[in-house]
Amino acid sequence: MEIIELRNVSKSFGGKVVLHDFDLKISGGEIRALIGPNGAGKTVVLNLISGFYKADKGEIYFNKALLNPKMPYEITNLGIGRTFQKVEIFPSMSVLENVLAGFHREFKSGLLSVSLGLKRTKEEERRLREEGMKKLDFVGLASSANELATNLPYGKLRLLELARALSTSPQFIMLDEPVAGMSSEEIENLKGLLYQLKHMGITILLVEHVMRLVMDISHCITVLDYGEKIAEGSPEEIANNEKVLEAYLGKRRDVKSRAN
Amino acid sequence: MSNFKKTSSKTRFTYVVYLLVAIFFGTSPFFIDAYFLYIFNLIGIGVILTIGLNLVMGYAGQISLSHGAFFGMGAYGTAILVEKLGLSFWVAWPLGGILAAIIGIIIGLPALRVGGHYLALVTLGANEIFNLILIHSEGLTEGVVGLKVARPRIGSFAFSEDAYFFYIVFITCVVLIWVANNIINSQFGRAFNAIRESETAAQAIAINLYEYKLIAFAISAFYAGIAGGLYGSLIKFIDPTNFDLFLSIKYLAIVIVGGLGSIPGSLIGAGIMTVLPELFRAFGDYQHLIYGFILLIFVIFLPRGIIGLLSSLRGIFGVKLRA
Amino acid sequence: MDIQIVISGIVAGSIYALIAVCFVIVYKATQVVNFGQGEVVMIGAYSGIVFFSIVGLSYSLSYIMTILVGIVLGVIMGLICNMAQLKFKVNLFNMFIVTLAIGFILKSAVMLVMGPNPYTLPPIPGMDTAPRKMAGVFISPLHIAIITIALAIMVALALFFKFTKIGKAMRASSLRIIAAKTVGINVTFMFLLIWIINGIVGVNIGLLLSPLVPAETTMGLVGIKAFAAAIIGGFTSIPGAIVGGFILGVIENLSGFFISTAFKDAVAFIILIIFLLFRPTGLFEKRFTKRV
Repeated sequence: MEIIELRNVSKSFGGKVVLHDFDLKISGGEIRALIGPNGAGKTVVLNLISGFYKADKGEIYFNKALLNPKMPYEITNLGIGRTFQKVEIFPSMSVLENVLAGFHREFKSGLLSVSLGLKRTKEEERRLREEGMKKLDFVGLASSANELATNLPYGKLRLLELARALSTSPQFIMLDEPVAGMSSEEIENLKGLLYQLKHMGITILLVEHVMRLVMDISHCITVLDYGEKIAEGSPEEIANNEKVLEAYLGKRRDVKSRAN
Repeated sequence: MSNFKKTSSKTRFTYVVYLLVAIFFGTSPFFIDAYFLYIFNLIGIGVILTIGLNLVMGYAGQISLSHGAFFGMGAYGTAILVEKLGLSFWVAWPLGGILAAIIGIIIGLPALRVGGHYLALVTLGANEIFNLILIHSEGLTEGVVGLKVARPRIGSFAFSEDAYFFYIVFITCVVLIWVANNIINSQFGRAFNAIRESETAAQAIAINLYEYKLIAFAISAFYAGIAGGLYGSLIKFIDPTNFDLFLSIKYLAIVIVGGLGSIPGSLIGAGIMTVLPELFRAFGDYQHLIYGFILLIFVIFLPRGIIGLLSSLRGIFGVKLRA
Repeated sequence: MDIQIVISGIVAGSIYALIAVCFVIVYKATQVVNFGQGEVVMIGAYSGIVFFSIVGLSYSLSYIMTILVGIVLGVIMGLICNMAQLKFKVNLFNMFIVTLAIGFILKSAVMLVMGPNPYTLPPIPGMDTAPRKMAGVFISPLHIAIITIALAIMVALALFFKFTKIGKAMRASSLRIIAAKTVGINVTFMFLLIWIINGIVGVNIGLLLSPLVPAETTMGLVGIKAFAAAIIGGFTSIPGAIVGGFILGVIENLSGFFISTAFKDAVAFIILIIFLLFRPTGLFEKRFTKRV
């Protein structure tokens, strides 16, 4: 059953085409990886799905319902969560509060009830805090719950972002380079978390450069280069795909020769 | 675990300070003279306005230069409902606050579609337009001539004594600070913070930016309106010049001086900035100049305000600046 | 329809256009939105009147002295903003508050020294401002002079920015200016220079205004109105600001005539709000999407 479908999606910025006639079909429960050299358009895809960019052409479907051109908050409300390439946690709040912020979808109390400190609100707050601690437990940050988010080391910040994205109760989650800057140990840890998410029935779209993780964990890999899909298939197929190798090696050669 | 303890003792300290301040001000009418009583009344009203402004600027991160209009709506709204429609102060006053909130939403609807400089300009423009409306609606507001306002009464008892009036101000202050605290420590407060710190991430956790900015604006305008209703009754006479751009800038300065996004900061800022020009009372017109210089100095050298300064000097208020 | 209205509109428009151009040139060079420009204009107006009718200098000498005042003002504002922006790393939004505060201080200072009453410029000997018929229309040579001088200043600025080395460097975005530092152009000097130019043009606008309206401390309002003009032009284009200024002036005067004088004051703000809501990038620019 297709949970996400992109049909002929195109996007340009000021005349420069960053995504061209892109098709994508992700099935429920899948772990899909989206890879490609820098500037290939991977984050563009995530931004299009989550509503931060509006597609110039084409349709995006989530559970068969048309997604574009909805606003990002509406899309999150439908059950799509995401993390960002550049970590976007809330620095002035504590680790737990960052996750609590993510429970926005669930929060029921109205302004009046909050202002007057009614029991109903206090109950809800207490319940959310419990839920929040569970999310932190899941990613392994429970001991830092009351620390200021900015005090966390980089690797843990990425876990915090994941915990927060999970508090939106997503059916489908997109992770943008979640292991950038992480140690091997932390990467293994995240890999375990991703498997657990899959077992919980959450579909994952992973944008990543760290090939080891991508090859280990994905069911299927989609490869982008210069805004075009150049390959799609199982990890084995992709590892041996000539076009893919060329795209990556070609870039490296270019960079090398320019440096000289 | 040790971090949790630290938070707890910081919170305990904060509550003790609040309690001491409350006791001091609560008993003040017994030991201060009429002049200071008047000042304290002004401070109380200023605190209410500042906390409201801080909610929208310090927490939700949206600038507003239209608080003069909200303050004015509260003052004129209350005054007109009492003087022209014969309503009791106790009905007119909260209505004044609600009217101000409605104006807040009316201004916010267009204004909050943009941010930064543009938002500042739109709110400034809205303030000017409101001021013009105040001046030109002579039938309702008496225009530039001004409106006389009576003190509130319960039955035959009138709050004509500043000391009695002060208790209205004081209790309102305490209640509205408590309410602000409740809002800040709730999901609403977290949503506001989220909007201020990362609109992108806020959207990704299903926060409708526009809706929540409007909510912050409306709450903020309500506070200003309540403060306005009290102000009109305090000084017993209002005219449009009380609610012009100067007021918006004055409170911008107060919020920055106290410390953006800090309730203690709002108290300190409102306190200092009300007392300071009184010290120069003899030089009346220097008030404006002083506000200008203080704003300039703080925004360049002390952008996090006095609370920011204190929190850098000692760890007492903690690294966390919010509430 | 009385063509007089349109001509008044053009005169007012030339003032708005000039102020709007000041906003744009400061913004393009330093990325700062200068909220105090209205007060610089106010100082120019007061300065001219003080030198001319109080100190008793000749009109030409008063003009020159006012330009000097403008330079000094420009240096002061430039030093403050330079220090704030470059040394204290005040963010761009707070810089806006800095300029707001400066404007406010200027206004308060003038209020203290000169009082709240308006000052009118006495008639200038040798200048016959009576309206006469030209090309079938009644127009005052004063109006022609104002429009001409305003246009001359705009042309001078345009030439400066298009053809001189410094001017060209300033036209680039500030990021490129910071990069230009490595090519030997002193950023601090360039920022200071732009503020000095801003001061000179600003006081000049005040001088142009003073025969038209009495000098008052609330004159700074004209600066806020000129924002609408700058925004019509997209805030990043000088010709856009000029067009915006004239459009604002004419619409304002037409509204004053057809609707009411009370409404006339509100027009600039209404245009401002409408543009900010529906076309914040101005009439001429394309919309940009925010990169995430």
